[in-house]
Amino acid sequence: MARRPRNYASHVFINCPFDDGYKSMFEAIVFAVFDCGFIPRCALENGDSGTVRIEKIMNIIAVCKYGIHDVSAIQLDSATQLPRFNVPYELGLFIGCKRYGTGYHDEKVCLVLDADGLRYRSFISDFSGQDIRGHGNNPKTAIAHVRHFLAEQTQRKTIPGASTIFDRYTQYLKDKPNSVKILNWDINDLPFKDLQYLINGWLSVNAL
Amino acid sequence: MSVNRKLLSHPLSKPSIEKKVEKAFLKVRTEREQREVRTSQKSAGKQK
Repeated sequence: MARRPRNYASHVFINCPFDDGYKSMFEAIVFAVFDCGFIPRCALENGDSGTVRIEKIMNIIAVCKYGIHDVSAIQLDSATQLPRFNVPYELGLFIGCKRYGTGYHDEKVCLVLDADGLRYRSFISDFSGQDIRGHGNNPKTAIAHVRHFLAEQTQRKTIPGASTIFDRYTQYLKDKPNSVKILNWDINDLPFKDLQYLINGWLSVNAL
Repeated sequence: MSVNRKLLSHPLSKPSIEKKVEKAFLKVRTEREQREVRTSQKSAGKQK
């Protein structure tokens, strides 16, 4: 049997849209995961063009016990008039890994988010009976769902309350522009790696 | 209140960049705290 990856129970696979309209939700979720004491992992973390994207995603899923999947961006693309299926596809991979993987993979648990908690019945009806949480496209609600999910699953006593995390996130957003300026980075063009440096850096300096 | 928790780094993180970012946020925090002190001193002065 394969060896349990290092920090397996601390890695959280973030499966969500990466377009500009979702940026604030994404940043709020990544912040909440770090502030709860976990490591967010996502397809954007490695710029290695030599590895096929789906291969990277499967490698990340393999080392994450937890998954956060946001299926809210199912609307039609304005240019192609087709929906984007990456998030449901990767959700399927995560659940498949839990179901058919051996050893520690069956410990995997996930949180599924949508804009509305019941809308999924119309577009992913096989998922009926599962608990999907609605965030109303509100970062504060998304932070609360992420926090409660990780706290319930792990029973860790060191996880701050949802309003504390949100207040800290708000302060981080205020401090970010000046820090980015000091670092000579471009606030409008921050790759995931830089974003996680910023969030983790802020959390280190503003430890609870 | 300290909850004595460990903040975890991303496995692909470079410590040198982490240090640089922390330094930047430390500077921002210090400036923010100094601003807050000045503001509270100003409002205390007005009340007198």
